[in-house]
Amino acid sequence: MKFSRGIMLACAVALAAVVVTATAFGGAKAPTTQKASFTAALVSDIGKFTDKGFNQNQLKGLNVAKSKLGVSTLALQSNSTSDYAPNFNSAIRKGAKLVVAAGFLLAPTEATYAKKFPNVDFAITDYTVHTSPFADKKGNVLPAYKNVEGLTYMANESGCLVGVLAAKMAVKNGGTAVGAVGGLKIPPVDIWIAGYKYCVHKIAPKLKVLVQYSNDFVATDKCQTVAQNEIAQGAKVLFQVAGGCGLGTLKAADDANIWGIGVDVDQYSNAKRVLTSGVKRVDTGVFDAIQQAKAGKFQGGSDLVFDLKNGGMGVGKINPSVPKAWVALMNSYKAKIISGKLKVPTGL
Amino acid sequence: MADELVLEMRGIRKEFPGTVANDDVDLDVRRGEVHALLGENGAGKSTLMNILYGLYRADAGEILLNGRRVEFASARDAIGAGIGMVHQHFMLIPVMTVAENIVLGVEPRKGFLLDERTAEKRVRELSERFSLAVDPTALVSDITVGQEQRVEILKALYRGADILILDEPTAVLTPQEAHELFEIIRSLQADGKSIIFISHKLKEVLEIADRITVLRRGKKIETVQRAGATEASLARAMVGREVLLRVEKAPAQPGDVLLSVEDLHVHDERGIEKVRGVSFDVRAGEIVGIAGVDGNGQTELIDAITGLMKSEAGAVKVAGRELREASARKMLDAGVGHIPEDRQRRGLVLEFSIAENIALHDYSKPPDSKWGWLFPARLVERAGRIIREFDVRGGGPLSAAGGLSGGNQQKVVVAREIARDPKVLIAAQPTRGLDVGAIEYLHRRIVSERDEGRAILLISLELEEIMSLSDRILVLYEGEIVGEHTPDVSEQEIGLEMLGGRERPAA
Amino acid sequence: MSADPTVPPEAPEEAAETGTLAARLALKQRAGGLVVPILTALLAFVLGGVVVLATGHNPLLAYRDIFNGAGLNWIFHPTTNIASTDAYNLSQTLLQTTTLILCGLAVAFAFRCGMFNIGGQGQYLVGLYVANWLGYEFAGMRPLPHILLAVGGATLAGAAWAGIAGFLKATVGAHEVISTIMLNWIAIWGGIWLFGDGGPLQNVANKSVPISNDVAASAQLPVFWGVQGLQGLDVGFFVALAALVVFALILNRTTLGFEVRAVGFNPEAAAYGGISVKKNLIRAMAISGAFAGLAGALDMLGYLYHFGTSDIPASSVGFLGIAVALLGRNTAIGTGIGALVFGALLYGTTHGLSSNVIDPSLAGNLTYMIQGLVVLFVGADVLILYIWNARRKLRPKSKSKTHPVGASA
Repeated sequence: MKFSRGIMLACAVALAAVVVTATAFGGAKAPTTQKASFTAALVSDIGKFTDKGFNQNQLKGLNVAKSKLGVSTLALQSNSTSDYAPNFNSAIRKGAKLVVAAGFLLAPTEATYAKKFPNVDFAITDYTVHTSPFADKKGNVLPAYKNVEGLTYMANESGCLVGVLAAKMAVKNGGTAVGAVGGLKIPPVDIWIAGYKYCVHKIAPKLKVLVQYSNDFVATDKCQTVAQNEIAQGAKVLFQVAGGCGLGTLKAADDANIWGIGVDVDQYSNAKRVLTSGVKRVDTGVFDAIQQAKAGKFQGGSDLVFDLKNGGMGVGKINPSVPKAWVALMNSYKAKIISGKLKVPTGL
Repeated sequence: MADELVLEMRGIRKEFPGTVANDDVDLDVRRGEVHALLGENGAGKSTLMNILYGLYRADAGEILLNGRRVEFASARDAIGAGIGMVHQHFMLIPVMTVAENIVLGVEPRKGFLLDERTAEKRVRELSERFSLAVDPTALVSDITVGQEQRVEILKALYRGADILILDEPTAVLTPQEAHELFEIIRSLQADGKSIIFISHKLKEVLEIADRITVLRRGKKIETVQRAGATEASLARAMVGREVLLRVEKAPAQPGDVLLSVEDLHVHDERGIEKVRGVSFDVRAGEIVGIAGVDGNGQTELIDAITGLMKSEAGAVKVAGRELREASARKMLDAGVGHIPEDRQRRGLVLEFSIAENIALHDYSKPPDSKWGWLFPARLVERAGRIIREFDVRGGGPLSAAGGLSGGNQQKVVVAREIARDPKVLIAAQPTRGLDVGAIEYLHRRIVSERDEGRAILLISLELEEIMSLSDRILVLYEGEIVGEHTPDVSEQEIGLEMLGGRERPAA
Repeated sequence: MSADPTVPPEAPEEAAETGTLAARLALKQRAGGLVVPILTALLAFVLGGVVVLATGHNPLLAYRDIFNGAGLNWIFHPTTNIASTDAYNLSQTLLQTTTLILCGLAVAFAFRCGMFNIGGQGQYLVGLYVANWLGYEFAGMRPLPHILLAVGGATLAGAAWAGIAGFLKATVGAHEVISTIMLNWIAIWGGIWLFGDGGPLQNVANKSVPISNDVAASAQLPVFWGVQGLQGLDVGFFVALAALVVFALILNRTTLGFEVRAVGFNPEAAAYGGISVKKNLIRAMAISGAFAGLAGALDMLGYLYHFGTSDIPASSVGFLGIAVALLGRNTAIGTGIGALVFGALLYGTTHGLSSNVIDPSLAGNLTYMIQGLVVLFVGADVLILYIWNARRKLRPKSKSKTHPVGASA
């Protein structure tokens, strides 16, 4: 038969491949547990470590901990929802003493593992332990979750500071509006926008603050579309609050020759017309949690709060075209917030 | 000088995987000769001509043109050497004019532009010289199939062809058009052109050819002069055994009316009325033939009767029972068998096995299935019986239908329809594309089914087939029946009616 | 009039020109047999290796890590003890395989009816939502009826969702590729609304996060390998295997399958045979959607239990189903094998490319590159077939040398 020779050939090739792999792989040892005394793991959410923001920045904190504290680290990326549990499993299996979950999406999975493994410490970025699934309805942390620490950020404070610059710039350019492009309508996003909006109105009460959501943290095109929509409505400055997706917002600002404001990390170099960035030091949070845990001072069952005062929040590089006077104005707001004279709201 | 050889092909051999298409074939063609290449489908005629035309390369053998050995790497080489070929499927560009199509690739130019006037002038000269009447300025999309063929011939002549290969040229033509083609061939012949005429139709070969070369299974069987050759002798050479060419049948003994069509009106997909008030009856034990040129409503008429298309008005009765809102399913269940005009596109699922194809109508009934559960073993068992009974060759019940030869595919279709024991059998172009042996078988089978008492409606574009099989002949022209005849009517009379040459007789 | 041996080999190919996409593909499958899919996969892995090499890593080591990461090294020392890393990894790979089998069948079944179901993702999501809703809303039922209710409801929902596309094709001729893609988006945005802030299915415990409720314990599928609640391998795996059998039985042993295949190969001949083409288009799409909806149900009740709005656009198993079906040539066995290959690849690349060897962000991208190459080569079948056929065509020339001219005279 004509084809049978071809089939045999292919089968032979396939068989050879299997044999080679089998011999090569069969001898391989299962990965051994880390020798170092303390291992910390970080599990990303589906934004992944390549999101140029939220997840990537936490990875930075993990890497700093590795070099400064001499701990072993495991960075576990979740490419899909079904990777969450195996990543926790893998972290614990490989001897992690502290597992940091990068965001609220991981909360239910972290809760399950925290309950099953009371001897391992868990932290979660951007999520308070005083809520479900870690606490009862009154906000009291359940006994099973005394090994979980929330890492929360007063992003409203940084939002306020970039709002000051945004308002000044919009007024100078004769604009009637500024905008914010959120990822999802969730508290960790809205807290930024709340501070931004509050302080924009402090500077220029008549400016409209446009708030829309892309419903995505990854796909830049979605943020770009929403951003263009806001630009069409007259926004002169756009604050992106959508992680990797928000790079699309910055690009839209570039394209329209208006100004963009980065979020989470210093995104000054991610686009041409970045006014400044609202910086949330999630890397510091990860680092601090690891430092505490390694030193045996882990505060399970409570939140670690990061704000302007302790340096967990801040602003990134300010564009040179911003007048010195505006920066001074912004710093005066910062001083007022740190001293407690100015209370910035945390929700819209 | 009439005996001068212009072309010799010697010892041509061509193999395809698993088959030898040409095996040591010789062919010589004289100047001013019409040389017919006769053979069944798959006998190797087209392969041989494709080698001559530079489309295939022979594995062995040589080609001598005017005594000089030539080798063609492509059709361009062959054209350059004075060989032209008109394929079965025309290769014209519909949106361009006749003249543009003819000069395409070798255009007379004015600078960078096509010199339309020169092109038209040259085309007109050529067409007058060979009496190939065609308007050079007409768009190809507007001309008839017969005219398209003339354009193809002109295209070859324009490129300086001395040897013209015509691949089954009459397959697409009406009898009148075929007659005109023969006139053209004769005038080309008078001008000293040599024609290689590929065909499997004995009658026309005997009418037009000077010499006839017969191929069978890739081998040359013989080359004979027309004088002395008969249909029977040629058929024997082609098939390799005695072939009964005349359909032998007893006079019909019509019984009850089994199929009755009353004032049927059918629109095609674009809403154009294609069948305009057709009425006729077919009785048990008779064959009613519908003659007509392609596109005069045959397809729509068949589809409406078989429930594949909705009719606008009128009625179809099977054995006296009117079928309203008929579907294909209802018609099948009412006892209408249908040999469709295109067995590959409609009659068979080529990827299905023969067994599955035989079950195509009845898979949903016992014994093939019960409560939706199919019994493949029963399908296979039944197919095995039918394959034996109808002598289907080339595959078993589990072979794919697409792997069979055309004749055997048609046998599967016919076997399926007849095995269902239908009251009415509609046979649309049942022998299209089949060779002599297969045609003989099918014709005999249709007659024997008539004698079984079935009502048979035969639709064919081959007038000869209609004339030889039918007990009554209806002529369909532009969606209407324009004539009814007994089979002793002359071919000319029907041919005229097929072209609308006679007013509809008063009823 | 025997089967003429001199019918030129082009004949079957010409015949196929007239058929549908499915018909042409079927012919190619016959032409390439087992060889082409195997070559496809091998070539993709070789090129994937080149990509790994270009990033400065040893491709053999990377593939070993993927192989082990997928738990396939389990066969060298099989154990049912889930504490073994290999066993755990294998259980996770099989969990992925479960979903991919069903999403693959969702594509394959429609394909056998001549349609290209791009909407597996949407049908999967709809199944996911409905399973979540039924699994939460009817808490307190006895487990078996609750599971049957949630699985059945989700399966029907998937069927209905795909049935829309079939209905549109049958009635107004809307091409199923366009309509299923649009239905995907409706499913995605519908889910974002359902689970989102203030949405009707958002969890009641913590209104600040856009995540659904958790499926009640009574609707959770029993885990047979691993730990319940920690994404162990649930009985859904056996349901998927059974679905493969059902798929093959429907197609080959029922009148329904006979009709589906006839319509898929040649709708005109099917109509001539008395088969209602429209009915079959709708029905085949619905059955396809049922497979995808079932996949959603098994994932939701088997290990996910809840779903967040951000998880929705990040999910892509429905699309991977297309690659699985294509690699598996739309057959039951092929789809099963294809699902295992992709399941292992998916899990193995994510969890096997060790973060200590390859930077995790790079490892994540390598995952996509290798997956992408496989999909690309599956799509490039035509090319491989072309080369394969060209090789066959070249053969007679060399063969003729052994038959000197005149030898057969």
